[in-house]
Amino acid sequence: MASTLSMILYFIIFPGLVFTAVAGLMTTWVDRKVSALVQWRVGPPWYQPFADILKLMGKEIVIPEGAKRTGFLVAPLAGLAAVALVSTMLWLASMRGTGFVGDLIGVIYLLTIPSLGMIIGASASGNPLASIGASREMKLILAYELPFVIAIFTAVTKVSPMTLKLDGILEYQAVNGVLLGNLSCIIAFVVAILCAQAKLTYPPFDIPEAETELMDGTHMEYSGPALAVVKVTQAMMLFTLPVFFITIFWGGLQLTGWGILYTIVKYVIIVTIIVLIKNTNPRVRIDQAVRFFWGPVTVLAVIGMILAVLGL
Amino acid sequence: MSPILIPIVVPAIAGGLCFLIPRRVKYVREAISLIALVWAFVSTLQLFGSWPLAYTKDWMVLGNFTVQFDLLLNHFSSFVIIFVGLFGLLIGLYSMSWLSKEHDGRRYYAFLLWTVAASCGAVLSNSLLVMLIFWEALTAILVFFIVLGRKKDEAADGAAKSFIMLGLSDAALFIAIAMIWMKSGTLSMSELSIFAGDGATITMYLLMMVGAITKAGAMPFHTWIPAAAKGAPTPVMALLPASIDKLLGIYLLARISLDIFSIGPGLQLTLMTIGAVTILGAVLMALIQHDLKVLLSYHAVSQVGYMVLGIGTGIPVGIAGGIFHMLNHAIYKACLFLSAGSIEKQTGTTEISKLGGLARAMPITFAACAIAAFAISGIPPFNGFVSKWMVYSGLVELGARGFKPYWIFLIAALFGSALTLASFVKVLYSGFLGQRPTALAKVRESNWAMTVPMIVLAALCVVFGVWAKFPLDKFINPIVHGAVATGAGGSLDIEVGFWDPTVATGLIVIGIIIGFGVFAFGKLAKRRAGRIFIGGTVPSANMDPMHVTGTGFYNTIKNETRLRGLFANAEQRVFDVYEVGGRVGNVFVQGLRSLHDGVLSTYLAWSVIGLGAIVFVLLTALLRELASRQ
Repeated sequence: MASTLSMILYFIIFPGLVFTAVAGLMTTWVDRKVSALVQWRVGPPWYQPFADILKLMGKEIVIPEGAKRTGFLVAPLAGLAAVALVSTMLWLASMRGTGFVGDLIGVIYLLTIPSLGMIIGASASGNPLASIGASREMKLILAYELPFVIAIFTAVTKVSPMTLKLDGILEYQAVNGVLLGNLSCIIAFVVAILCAQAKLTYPPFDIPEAETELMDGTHMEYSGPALAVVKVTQAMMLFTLPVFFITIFWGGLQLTGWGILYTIVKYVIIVTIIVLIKNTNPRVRIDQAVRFFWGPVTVLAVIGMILAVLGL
Repeated sequence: MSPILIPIVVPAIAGGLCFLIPRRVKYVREAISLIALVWAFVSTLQLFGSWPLAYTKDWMVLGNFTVQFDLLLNHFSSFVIIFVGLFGLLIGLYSMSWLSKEHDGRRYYAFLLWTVAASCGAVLSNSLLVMLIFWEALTAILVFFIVLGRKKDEAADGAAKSFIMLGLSDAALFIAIAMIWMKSGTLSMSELSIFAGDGATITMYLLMMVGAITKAGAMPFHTWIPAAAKGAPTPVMALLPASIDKLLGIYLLARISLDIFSIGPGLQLTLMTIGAVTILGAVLMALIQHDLKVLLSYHAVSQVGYMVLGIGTGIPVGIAGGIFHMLNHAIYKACLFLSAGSIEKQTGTTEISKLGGLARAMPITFAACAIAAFAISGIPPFNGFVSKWMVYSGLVELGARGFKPYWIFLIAALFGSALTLASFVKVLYSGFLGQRPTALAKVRESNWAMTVPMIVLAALCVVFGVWAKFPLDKFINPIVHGAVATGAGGSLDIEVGFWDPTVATGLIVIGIIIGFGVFAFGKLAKRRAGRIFIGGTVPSANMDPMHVTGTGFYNTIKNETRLRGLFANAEQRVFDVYEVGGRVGNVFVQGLRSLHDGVLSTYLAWSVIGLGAIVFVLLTALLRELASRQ
């Protein structure tokens, strides 16, 4: 009973839902501040993301006529719960050194649920522009999933004995040094960051949302608390993906002494790379994105994998 | 009567009765079928746990060769017949409402019952020859079944193609069985143990494998399934290619790969390659289909890849994953075909472009279809995820043991899973979400006889996913020893991985409840309905012009430069063994045709030559016999 309660608390408070949401919203502030600096603006104060969410919470929910209400409201919630679960799995692997809930494959599959939730929610709204967004989001998943899984399994190939368990990967790195020390894993890391950009639907891959042509596409019909859930889920993804990469490529999270600072530095470096790519690239078309991910990025990922198989 | 005979004899007799009852008599046929199917299902449940149970009887005596009618109940066959019985029962119930007056109920129920009988017979038989007889009977029944479809031309085409492909694969099986008898002198599956090391034994294994995977529908022998889907009645697709054929094909593949033969790395690699190619090739074809039934049938091919891949790894967890995937696939694919049948019944079409927005009108069909679609795409925590996860773990373990190219198969399987998800997003969107065309304004939910089977199957998808420990401990682990250690609670622990579906589901549900709390806190009560926003244009009452069909969902993928050639070739049927075989055969036929010149003396000359050849063969045999006696 105590363990059930502690599991639920892990999931809800720390390092799950609440913690991930707060950390994610703080990260979106970093994102907005860095973007502002790039564009020679001052940028918002640190509490701006929280104020935005609070404002949305106070508004009414407008549900489009002819929408499939349950699907429309539940789909984003499934995404929220899935990211919170992934975050809990990753943090507990670093904190306790044992597996929680699942392994790497569980993480990869759970990380697609937020996108899937958005697709189902957008389709359920009945809005034609949102359905175009949904179709693009799915094609984007297809595009990045191929290099993404190759990149992740490059790390698995380097670990010996090969394992899918997160704690096993961390143990190997604690003994043999971080995986980023290998050429193959550096390549895989670059590929993974590029895929993260698409997973977050950040420019240049904000194709499903495409503000200027689809008017936020998949998010279009969401309003009030439902929109708040969508935004918080995105923020949590922005927090969770760098943590995921740190776990499998960069030795995991150290949470004692100077390790805390080191962890924060690693985290900020990855987030800054993502934000800089976001701010310096214009949006591409969906067919260009598919060609980009299935072409050069996949080739790069395969090269990394072959190097890993050769032992580099 | 021995209890092992009940699941074979009861449906067979009931089928005969259904066939004899005149067409005009109502309800009696349905009642007989339902009673027989319930009886058969209950008897399979009672048989579970009572192995080993054998039934042997001398059947035919041909000189010194005795064909024994040899049945044996073991763990594997016992769990397979339970599900054969379950699918028979559910689809029997479903058909009572689905069949309309245009269908020939007399033959339909007879075939349905005979299918169950023959499938149970094929699974239970311990003699390869008895199995072959039941196996051939199933091929014949399937062909007659497809012909019952309402679109006569397409049904006839599909039936012909299925008959030729399945018939040839049955012939391969027959040759293999003859070779096994020549070599070992026995046909009893429990006694056979052959090491597939030299040319002859590898040929036997490959021939049997062709028989098994054609039934299951793996590439390159898959094309009969989409062809059958075009014409066959939808419940028939749910019964045979989607579920029972998978159970039988993979059952045979597992038996020959694990029990009858011991196979080496070369054959394992063959199996794994067939698996990986099947996963990717078929799912790419599924992505661009416009008809719900054909789309589903390509997935019925694609998923076989995971089973073959899992069994091909030769790692216990991979084999267990392959067998578990067979079971899971039968459940969710039957559910998907039944949902498609429900849509077909209510709207009169399965054309994706004509459907849309049915979720509100048909909530149960939508829920069942969505659960099955997520299960087939491997979304945790449904059952498809668990078995796919086991197959992946088997591949990683193979890699850990030094098989370096493991990652190619792993990536193919993982990427195939993403493509499956894409294809089912298209199904859910174009069938149930989006705008409803005005032509479908009056559509209603199907009645209970059709919804109950769908609910049962969807519930099984959830139960076998969330409490995966139960089916694994009960059915799979005893077949493949030590595949998955099931730990405390519902967790599954294997050497390379770990998954705890019960906790994962619990936490996700808690997360969703909290989210609802957030909605409630944020004035869900104050929600209001508004018109959709389309860039400022005021939507009119008639939304048909705004209907975005799912047909073009993946045109970007179809037109991708590197795939365009592949798709064009596939649409020309370059990869269809049936078509290619037909073309090659045609060359021979054209050659023979030139011999037919219509002149009587030529024909007589050929006859005399033929007669001479026969006499020559007979005479040499006779002379050799005489020589050996002296």
